[in-house]
Amino acid sequence: MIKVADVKYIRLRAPDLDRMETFLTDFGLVRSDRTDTALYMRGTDDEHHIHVTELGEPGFIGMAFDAAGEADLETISRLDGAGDIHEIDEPGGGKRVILHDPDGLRIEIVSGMETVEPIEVKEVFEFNSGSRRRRVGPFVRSGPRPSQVKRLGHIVLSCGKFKECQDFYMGTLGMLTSDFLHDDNDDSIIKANFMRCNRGQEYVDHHTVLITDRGEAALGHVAFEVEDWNDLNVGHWYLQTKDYVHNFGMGRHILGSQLFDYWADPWGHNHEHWTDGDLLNEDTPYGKYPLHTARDIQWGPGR
Amino acid sequence: MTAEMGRGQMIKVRDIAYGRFRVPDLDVAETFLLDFGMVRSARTDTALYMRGTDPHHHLYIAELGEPEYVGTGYYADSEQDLAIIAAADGAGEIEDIDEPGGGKRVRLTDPEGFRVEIVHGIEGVDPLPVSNVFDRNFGTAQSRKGDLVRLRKGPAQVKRCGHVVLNVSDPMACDAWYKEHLGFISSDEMYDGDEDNVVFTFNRLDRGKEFVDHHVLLTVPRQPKGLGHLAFEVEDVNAVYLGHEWLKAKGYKHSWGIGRHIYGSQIFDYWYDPFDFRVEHWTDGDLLNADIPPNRAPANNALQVQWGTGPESRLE
Repeated sequence: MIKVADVKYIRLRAPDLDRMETFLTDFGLVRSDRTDTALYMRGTDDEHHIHVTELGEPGFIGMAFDAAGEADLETISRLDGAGDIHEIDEPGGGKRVILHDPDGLRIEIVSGMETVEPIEVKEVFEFNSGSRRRRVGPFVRSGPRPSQVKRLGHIVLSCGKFKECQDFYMGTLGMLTSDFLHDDNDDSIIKANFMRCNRGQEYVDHHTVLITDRGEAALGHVAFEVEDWNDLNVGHWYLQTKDYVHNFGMGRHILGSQLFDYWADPWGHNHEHWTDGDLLNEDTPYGKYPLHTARDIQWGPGR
Repeated sequence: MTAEMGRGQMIKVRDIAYGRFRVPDLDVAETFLLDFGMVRSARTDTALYMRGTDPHHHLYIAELGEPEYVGTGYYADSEQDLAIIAAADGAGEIEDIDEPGGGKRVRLTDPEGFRVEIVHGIEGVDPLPVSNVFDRNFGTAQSRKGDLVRLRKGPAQVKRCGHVVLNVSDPMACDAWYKEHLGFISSDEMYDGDEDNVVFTFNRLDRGKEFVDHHVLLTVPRQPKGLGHLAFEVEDVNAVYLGHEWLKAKGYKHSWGIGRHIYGSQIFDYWYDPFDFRVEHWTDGDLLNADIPPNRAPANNALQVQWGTGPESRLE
């Protein structure tokens, strides 16, 4: 139907915006705007916001995707159950169509939002590997400080209606499968699907949405890219000095290859820092693996 | 400061070559070193010679005997430099090395009694292929497109010997001796209290404009006298972590890491071998040349990290 260009922001609900802002600031996001009822956080890239928290009972409302162009808003608005194109009555503006995935999760397709000046990324260092010297002269001097979140990279969803969700994200939103995961004991049963955006020859992240067949809709985690392994570590040890819950990491995933670190916000929403993931384009064939491959890691502590 | 004040410096060595140990069981030593990521270069009835992926014949020698760190080998720039250093007080004659790899050598003893071997002309060996080498995608620059990282588990392949730390009773006297005889220069001079009270120094090689590791030798005030640690470079953080997990699974004793040092910036991981000698895996250290002036820093900061856990208590 359309091919979304990227994931844009996540929309959560929390009963205390101050507390959420403190967590997200420690996690490495920066306030873009705040109203009486909502908090808008950005990264170092030029997107106006990548994380929205509305005041209310803790919960996961949904997520937004960038349309490849305004014409795609027209296309998607004609879909059964989709709303009309309307101006977004929130900081950053832009136009939007709201629809819902088969599990009832709110999906916003947006276009034309304001951009903001990128924030300069600090402490960017070349690295000296055994086989290549690239940092001659500058010393690494970093931390303690939060990681610097660059952008929203992907969202992981548990699905109730898994097959319908696959059709929705691939058919309606035009995503491509990077890796199918089958039941550990039966390779004819697909249990999860790592999906990326289809931007043709351009290389994109290995996954933008991962859906897993869990019988119930829920947020798995939301994942934000940081500069590099050094920045991820600096952020990890900074968060360690605060009273937050660490969920998993640091380590290296197999599927997508990202270096990862997972932390819970004060209401238990799982937020990931990642860096150095694989990049694929439309020509990259999909893979098929047993489900445990998604949990297995190349290195790092186990769960 | 960099010229080291015309104290009659003798030669400027090219690099650290190897550490020489004595251990009571060469099989146990070899098994550990293989798990640590070295490869056997040669073995005799009484000694084991281990190499890395670089084309040096060996970077670790274990002789059969009671556990002891005997000393350190350094590469001379030329055979002429062997003649110069042979004229130093207490130096031996230039001799043929009666060990695998051959070459020539002059032996000295530092002020603390550690042997110093200045070597030249040891046979080279073919470099070994390095596995698990991947470009990286940074937030600000992406260079690995379409290539998926799939790492082979196993020991962290050791590339080369990088530096040695010696525990000594009079570090500054020892430090001056190395600067004078081997041409080392200060990277960071660590002081206690008053800034003029330098108590130990991170030394690097003087290779002129060429960039070298932040440190090749530290002599630090710690007892008992002996090896602090010997450090070996590996490819990158993937190697450090895979190597860590390999050694952990084998049941070896971990010392400290993984973390990032301040002075030298290396990402490090320290382990004990079966004879309680400490060895380090490191990657991504700072590189300096002779134009960079020495820095002064508080000695207390030497064991602090940019990230990672603090040192084990026996090092504090």
